[in-house]
Amino acid sequence: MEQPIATLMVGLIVLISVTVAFLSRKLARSTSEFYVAGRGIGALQNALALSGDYMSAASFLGVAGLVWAYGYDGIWYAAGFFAGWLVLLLFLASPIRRFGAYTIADFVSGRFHSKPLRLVAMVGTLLVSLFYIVPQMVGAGELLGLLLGWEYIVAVVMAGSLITVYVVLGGMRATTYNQIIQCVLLWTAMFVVMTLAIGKFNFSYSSLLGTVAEYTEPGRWLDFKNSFALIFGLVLGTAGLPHVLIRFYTNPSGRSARWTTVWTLFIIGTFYMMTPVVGLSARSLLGDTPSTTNLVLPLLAQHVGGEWMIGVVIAGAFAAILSTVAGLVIASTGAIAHDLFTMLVPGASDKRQVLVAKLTSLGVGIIAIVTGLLFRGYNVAFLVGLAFAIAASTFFPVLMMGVWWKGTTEQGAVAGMIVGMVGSALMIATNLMNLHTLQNPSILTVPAAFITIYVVSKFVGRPPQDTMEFMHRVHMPEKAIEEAAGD
Amino acid sequence: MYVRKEFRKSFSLGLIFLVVTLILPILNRFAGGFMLKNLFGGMSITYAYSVILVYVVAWIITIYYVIRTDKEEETH
Repeated sequence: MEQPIATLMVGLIVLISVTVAFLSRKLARSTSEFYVAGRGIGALQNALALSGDYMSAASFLGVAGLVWAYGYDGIWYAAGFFAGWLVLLLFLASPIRRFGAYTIADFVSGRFHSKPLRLVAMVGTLLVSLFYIVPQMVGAGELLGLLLGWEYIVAVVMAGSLITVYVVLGGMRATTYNQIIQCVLLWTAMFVVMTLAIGKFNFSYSSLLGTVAEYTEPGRWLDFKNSFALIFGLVLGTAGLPHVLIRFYTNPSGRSARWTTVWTLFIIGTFYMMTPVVGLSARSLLGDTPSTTNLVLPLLAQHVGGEWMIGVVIAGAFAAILSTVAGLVIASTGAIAHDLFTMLVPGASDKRQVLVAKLTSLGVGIIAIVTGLLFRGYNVAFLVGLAFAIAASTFFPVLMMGVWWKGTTEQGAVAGMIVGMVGSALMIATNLMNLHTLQNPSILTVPAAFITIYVVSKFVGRPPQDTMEFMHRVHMPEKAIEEAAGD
Repeated sequence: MYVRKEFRKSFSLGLIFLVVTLILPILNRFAGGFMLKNLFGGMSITYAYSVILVYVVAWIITIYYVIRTDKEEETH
């Protein structure tokens, strides 16, 4: 055991997570409880859970590492991860909550009454979630492997099994409580490291910047094209992330959904404001010492606070990974057990659906572990950026057009989703094969999906007959809806 | 009526924010010298923009949007 304090802290998180899941297990006996915690999660609670869900290994380890490596160009990730939330709040948060559903597929099929669309949405959810899970498992493996001396395979299997156990046991309720605890832990860990680090510069931001002036200028990594494409993808991608969107369904009302986003913007905003300080401090204090970007933060913690601080950071990183993967497992489970199963076996009892959901979570957990083992060595923030690109291209255009343009047809929506999903996946694959230099394809594939939806809708099919009813339902003030129902 | 009103509110605020965010790489590219000017305490304009301004603008828009929407819901 190389780091006894860190091991103790990780053990403590494991104990807390499993205890929470065990205590919540009796609640996860209906589909409504399993997927959306009975729609009874308050705004601040939900904001903490959302922040825990959202701030993954990429935010916690990846961004600080990229700022250490490339300075200003790494900061794009912090700004982009944050900025996407406003797009989500302004355009989609209230409408999707007012509609009330379990998954993205529920929402689009509710709008267009289309089985093919439901299937495409399911495949998109799985693709985005998988792209997002892989870096988390890689982060878990590298972190626990290098700092606790565990074998990579042991670390990945342990992290994956733990998450699977508590999702299967407790569903959304246990996941929410765990994410709240994990969010507080990872935010605090980042705050403590930042405070200790800036303390080395007499608590003067300008002293810190003075030591690394050349790292505060753009252009060390990304050229104009790639920096613009990256920020574009991150800003629009957040509003298409299935595990983030399903959390809005857990709010009891649209008002609560909006205040959830306000709280979330403060929690994650203050978090991302800290990451450049930490990354640049690491550059100034550690120089070129770290061997990999993913381990910059723990090494900085050790430098400024010794073994205890490494323990705090590993615990924070582990919390970030657990909370995000749990959210992704719930979203993927929803895609398979809810979207697919209810389509194949209509009228299945609620009890049977929960059983299928739990078995599916188990399967998704195993896939997470296997893919985590396959993708060892990849950069975590970069991989998450790609998940954002697929989410932005697949879901953002169809959700925007579905919510805001009554002329959208089923055929337009299906074509737009396929163009966005296949286009972004192909562009990413061809970039990884060095066939072109555009790292983040959403700058091309998002407009392509929008144009496809518009053009196909204009020429093929008709908008569903109940489109106006849908529009009223998702845009009318809730009080007006309640009064109309009362009349 | 509601859809149009919501559309105007969301899209005007959204457009402001998207311009604030997406213009940064463009300014860095086409007004690089200006963006690297020292604003205060060794912080260049572009650095302050990316680590402070983006956040402050987002928070202001968020609070404005949520309070306005809550009021509209109350007095629909």
